[in-house]
Amino acid sequence: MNYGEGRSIAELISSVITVVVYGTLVVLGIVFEWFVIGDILQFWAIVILIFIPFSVVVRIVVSIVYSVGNTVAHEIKGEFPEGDEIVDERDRLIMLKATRNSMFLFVVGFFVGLIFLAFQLSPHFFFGSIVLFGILTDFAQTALTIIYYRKGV
Amino acid sequence: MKKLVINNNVRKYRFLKDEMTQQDLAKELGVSRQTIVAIEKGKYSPSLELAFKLARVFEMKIDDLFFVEE
Repeated sequence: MNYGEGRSIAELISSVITVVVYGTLVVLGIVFEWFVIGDILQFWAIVILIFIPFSVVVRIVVSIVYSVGNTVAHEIKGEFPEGDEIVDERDRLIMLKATRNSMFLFVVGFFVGLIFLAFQLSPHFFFGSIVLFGILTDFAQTALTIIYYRKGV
Repeated sequence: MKKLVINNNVRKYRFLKDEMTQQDLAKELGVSRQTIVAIEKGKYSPSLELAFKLARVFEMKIDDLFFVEE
């Protein structure tokens, strides 16, 4: 496993941690009634606005832990792969292709949300589908990045 | 139109250049070692700029280094 693949797996782990921890906190907040907002739009606005900085912080922490762990692992092995962490044109191309292709999922989620609204279902379904497909997009992006690193781009 | 399969002689010329390591070549070109590995295996076709840089390192024409496989 090279540095780029490892970094992608670290991002996947941070996504899972973010979703599980934040999702649990929101559900607990609703169950124990310390996060109850009557207005649906206000509820989702607050949920999404807090989610963004939360996921950024988790991602930063996980990437720092990964970099430290990677350095320690190489020092234990006695290897010093100089320049492996360089982000070059191939890494950028892989990131671009993975982002572009995974974004189709987000578009699908948006259309599914619009269909829910068209059938006069609660706006919870619309926002829920956007959040769900957003998370799936993140997972797909990581999976595609690893595939492109292994199979070539 | 049929897709062209581009291959290269990077590995061969790297050995001919005093058995240069992938790490050294990567450092000289400012890319990661994985990119050199991917180019040698034919899993990645470098940009024109990187291809010219490679040709310059090995002091040869670009079409001696890269060729189309029929």
